[in-house]
Amino acid sequence: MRVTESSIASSFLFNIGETNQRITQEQTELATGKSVNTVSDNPQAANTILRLKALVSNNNQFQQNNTAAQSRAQATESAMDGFTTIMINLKGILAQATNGSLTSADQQTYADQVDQLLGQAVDIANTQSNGIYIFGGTNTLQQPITLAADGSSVTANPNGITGSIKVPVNEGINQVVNLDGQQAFQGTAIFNLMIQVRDELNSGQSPTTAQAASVDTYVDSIANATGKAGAIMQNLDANDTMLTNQQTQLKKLLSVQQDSDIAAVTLKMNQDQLDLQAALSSGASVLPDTLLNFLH
Amino acid sequence: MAGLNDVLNSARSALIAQQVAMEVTSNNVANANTVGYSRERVDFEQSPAVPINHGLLGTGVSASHIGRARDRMIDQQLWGASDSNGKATTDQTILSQVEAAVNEPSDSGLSETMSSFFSAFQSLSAQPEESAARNNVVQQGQLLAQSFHNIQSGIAQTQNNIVSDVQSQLQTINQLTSDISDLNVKIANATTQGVEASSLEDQRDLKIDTLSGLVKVNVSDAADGSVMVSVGGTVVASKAGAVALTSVIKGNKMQIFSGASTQPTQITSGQLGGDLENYNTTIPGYMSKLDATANALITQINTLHAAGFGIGTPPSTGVNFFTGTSATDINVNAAVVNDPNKVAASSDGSTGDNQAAVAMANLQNQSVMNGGAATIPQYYNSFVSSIGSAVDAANNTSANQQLVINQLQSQRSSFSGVSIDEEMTNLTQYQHAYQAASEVVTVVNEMMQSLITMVQ
Repeated sequence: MRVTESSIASSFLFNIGETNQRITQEQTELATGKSVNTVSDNPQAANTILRLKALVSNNNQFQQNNTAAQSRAQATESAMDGFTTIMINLKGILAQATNGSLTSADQQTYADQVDQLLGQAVDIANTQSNGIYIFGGTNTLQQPITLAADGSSVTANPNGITGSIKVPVNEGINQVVNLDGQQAFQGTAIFNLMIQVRDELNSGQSPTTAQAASVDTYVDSIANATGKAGAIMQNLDANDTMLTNQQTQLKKLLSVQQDSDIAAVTLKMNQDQLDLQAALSSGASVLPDTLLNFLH
Repeated sequence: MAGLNDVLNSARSALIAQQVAMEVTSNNVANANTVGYSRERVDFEQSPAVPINHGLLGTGVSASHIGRARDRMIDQQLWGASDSNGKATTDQTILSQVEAAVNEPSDSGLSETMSSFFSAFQSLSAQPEESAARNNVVQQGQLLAQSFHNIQSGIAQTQNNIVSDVQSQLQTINQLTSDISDLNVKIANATTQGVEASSLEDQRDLKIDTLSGLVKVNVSDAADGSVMVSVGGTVVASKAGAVALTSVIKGNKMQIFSGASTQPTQITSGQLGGDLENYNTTIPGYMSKLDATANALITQINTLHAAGFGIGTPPSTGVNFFTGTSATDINVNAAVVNDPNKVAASSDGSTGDNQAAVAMANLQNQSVMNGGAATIPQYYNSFVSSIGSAVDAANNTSANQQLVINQLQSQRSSFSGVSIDEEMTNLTQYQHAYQAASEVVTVVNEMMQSLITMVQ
């Protein structure tokens, strides 16, 4: 085949252009640390990357939700502990006050103690975490239990103090994160009992054994509720571990798809650079040679 | 019997012929780097012999014909391949612009803002009372709308650029066809007068080279050296003149008309064909997929949102979260922007309930697209990867076509290109022949001197 100067020159330029293009691509991969920089680099991988990125971002959000739920559950747990202490104290007072041989001064003292416990119990029922009444059911912005100013009665929020709050904390898992007022302290029943005992003591009447017995059942039910709060906390802790593991796994998958293999790319780039140098040096030595060099 | 004068005459013819050959060589060397130049060759021919007593005696040489070295078959193949290359290049440019407008995978693309938008609802479901969480939902909604607007306007910009691109291409095409027609006339005149028109033919063929990249051409040669160039079945350049192409945009479709014809000329290949296809089909296809994504998001979120309750006395309900119907006009409802308490997280009006927010966050996993076959993010992702695949395919086609063109060009160069080595070899041959002929003249001169001295 007849070979002319212009065809040598154009094929030389074309080949150098191709090599340069490869080097540019490899350089981009190294500079960004990513093997897929535009969708067209690898449409299939890009699709997977977008999907994995969405999963990572979801997982992130689940972790945040989990943390928020944990802080609410923690507040619930410690409030329930406080409630248990109050009930045990109340039980102790009743045990002593049912003893018939009490002076009216003693009865007065017990009445004061019960009144104090009542105040504490109402405070705990109105515990707020992050500006939210944790025992309000789904009516989280309204005080669940209100003690009348003269202490004569309690009322529950007329809009209700029940309702479970389910927070999405993992794919397909909606964790109940609250105990409502009914589950935690049986609505207003406990408070009413305390008011009744206090008022009777004030009027010189000792608590009945029936009253002591119902305090016992309340102690049990509050212990139950405390157990429930603990179980919520455990679930959330377990979920947290699961989310962290999932996140690690997802990020690993994402890395496989989108991160460039620095060693391999560097090696390839070195090879291409070698090709380029060989092409340049051979081009530089071949291109200037014509018959003219030797005609004298 | 031949005289000394006859010897001188044949030597003189040799000097003239070699000089012509050297002029051709000189011209070849001068045009070694001229684009479209075909090397020229000299054919030497013996002058007619004259009979003498002893037989026939040659009377010298003449440069009978100077012609260009050109293989018409390679030309035809090159013209046939250029349009595919032109289309692939155009596809590559336009689709890359679309890909850049979509800007995926990145930390600021629509895919990411859509994730953040759904995450904002997740976050709201954990703390439906928090005004920060509500504000975040509104903000992410606005960012999402902005992402749709950005992509939409990026693609629309690309589509608009095609219009001006087509205008300038048509201008080039019309200029080329009119030049080709003019050159045709000159070539035909020269050929009928028996004059070589190599340089005119080179010029014309170079223009056909350019034209064949812009639009698919059909070239047929006539006996008088002129050509007839047709595009989409219509003759646009011949000896008789050129027919101009014009573009008309009717109902969002761009059509090409030749001359006064009322039927559009079908142009499917070349740069112009690529522009038309992208303007009429590819880009509107992408736009409609983007609009479908936005529309699904708007209607689905609105349905869920309107069924939920915000915060307030009484809590708001029946409020749409988005306004608009497409990627162009999607926006967060101004009522919600002004009062984020209207963001409906609750399904029953109580402040702690979060089921409406949960439902909206879960929308990302609901198969609501393609008749229940894909979720909204999946639909969008496959839209993105379809653009990527198209760019990838265009890159590959363009690379392959470039190889074909390179191969043909190298074949053409092999046949028609100037080789300096060859010219130098020829030059040496002609020089030696010239020197030898001069030597003959010198010898004859000396012989004549001897003769004259003898006579004196």
